[in-house]
Amino acid sequence: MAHSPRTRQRRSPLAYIGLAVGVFWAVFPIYFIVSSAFMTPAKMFSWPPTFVFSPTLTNFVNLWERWPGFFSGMENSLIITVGSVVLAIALSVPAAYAFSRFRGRFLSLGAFWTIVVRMFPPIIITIPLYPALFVTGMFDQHITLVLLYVTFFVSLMTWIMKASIDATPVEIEEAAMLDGCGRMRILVWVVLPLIGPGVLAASVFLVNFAWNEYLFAHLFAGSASRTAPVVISEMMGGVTGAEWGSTFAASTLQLIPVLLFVWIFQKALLRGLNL
Amino acid sequence: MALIGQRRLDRLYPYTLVAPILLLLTVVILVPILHAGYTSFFRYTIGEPMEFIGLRNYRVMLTDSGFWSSVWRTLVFTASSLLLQYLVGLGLALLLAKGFRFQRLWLALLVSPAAISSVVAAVIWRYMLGYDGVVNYALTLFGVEPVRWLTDPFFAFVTVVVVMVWRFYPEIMLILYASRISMPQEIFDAAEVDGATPWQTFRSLTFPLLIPATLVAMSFRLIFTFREFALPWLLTRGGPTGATNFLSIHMYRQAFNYWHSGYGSAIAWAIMLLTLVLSITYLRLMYTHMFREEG
Repeated sequence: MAHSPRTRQRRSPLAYIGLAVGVFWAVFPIYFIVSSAFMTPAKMFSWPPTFVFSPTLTNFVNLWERWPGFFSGMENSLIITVGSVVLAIALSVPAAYAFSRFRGRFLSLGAFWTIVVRMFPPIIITIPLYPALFVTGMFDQHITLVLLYVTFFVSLMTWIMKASIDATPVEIEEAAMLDGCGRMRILVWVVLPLIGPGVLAASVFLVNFAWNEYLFAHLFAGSASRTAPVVISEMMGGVTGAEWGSTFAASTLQLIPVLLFVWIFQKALLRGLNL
Repeated sequence: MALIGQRRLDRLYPYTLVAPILLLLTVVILVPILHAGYTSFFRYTIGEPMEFIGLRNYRVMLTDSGFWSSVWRTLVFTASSLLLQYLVGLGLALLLAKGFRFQRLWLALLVSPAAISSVVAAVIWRYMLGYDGVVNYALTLFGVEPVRWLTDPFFAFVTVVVVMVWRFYPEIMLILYASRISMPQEIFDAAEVDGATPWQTFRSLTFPLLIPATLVAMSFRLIFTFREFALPWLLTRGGPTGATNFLSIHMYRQAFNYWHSGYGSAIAWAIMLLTLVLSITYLRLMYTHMFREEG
């Protein structure tokens, strides 16, 4: 992918101003909450707003002391995110392989079904799932959220990976087969390494989704599997002036890992969208 | 796996590979949706016996002015925030495609809002848009009176639209940017040699070439904006006085605050059918537009 700037084109000062405005609009809100997390409450709500201040960790200490639930929420988020990525890869790579390398009427129907399903709003299934999860004992289990996140992402992942597999020559697999390599081993040891970039691109989307998801986590997670976004929403719900500090500290801790992740893998993100 | 050489099993092999995801999609999505369709014909509260009432939930829904104003509000919200998401995404994609020093840094920064959860986005904007917040402070510098962004019905609606644009323009920007930089530079050089103004180049070259990417980006954003729950819910809880009570929030309240599961299911099906109608209308409009352009 051509990532290089087109140096031949001349850029007017207007372009630089536009870029500055765009970057400000995108980043200032994030910068503002992260910096406020390091302010004392008095500075946070000062008029005019403060931009020069001596950073303090008070809010993070308060968060640690008053909201232990947030840190178990981070842990739950991590478990659920990693679990979703692992399961989604395990399910979508074989499916993508089948859609790419085999033909058949039922396969086309299956492929069509994976696309149609993406159209259904997740909120619709919440009403019937709510009692069903209680009956089956799956309410407030990590695996429940993992399954839900994987279900809503497995189509996109399958299609991104199918495009990757389409782009790899089938001869490599045939050579491996002639060497006596079994089908499962071909999938794991020949195909999977070749489509690494596609897997990465798809995973970036899923990590971003699973780490940040609110609706399912809010409805289907009790005290044992409550994720960080849900804890933050509870902190925000009961804000009395003094609690903003802890909420900002929690928001900062929640947003930084996934923001770094998206920054690091932006190239993969672009590639995934370009397919 | 010793499947090689066993012909019958060979033919089944691809199906064993796709079976898990098809099963998952069916059990987690199709079955609950059909079950919601079933419960929509009942008066039903979780934990209590169901009572068959035929189409009464739908009749109540269709004669409820709250439902219709929610439909209307959702459509205005979807149209306005979608248009703005697109304009911001398109503008920044084309700007970025000009190529700057530290290109990847600017791209990363411009994509940042896409990594922020709805919850944190709500925390950020409720903080910034508070009556004593930084946005109102900035307005006073220009001599504008402070605005009640979250408690005035009109401005609460505007707020939700603006935050939606902030959070979701990067997806459109990325798709359009990827499409723009994959276009051959020669045609733009040719246009420049022929003396085309930037506006002419955009109108008759860049924009038509971006239509396939636009089609993809907007069909997804349409579906996802229409169903959006988390961001408006966390920003305004549907208020004030129902100004941001979109269909998804309307359904959520009926189902999970009042526990009218049967009625909630009827609204859920209405949301699904409206999504279907909207996407089909959108696709038809886009396609007829494309063919008219070509012909």
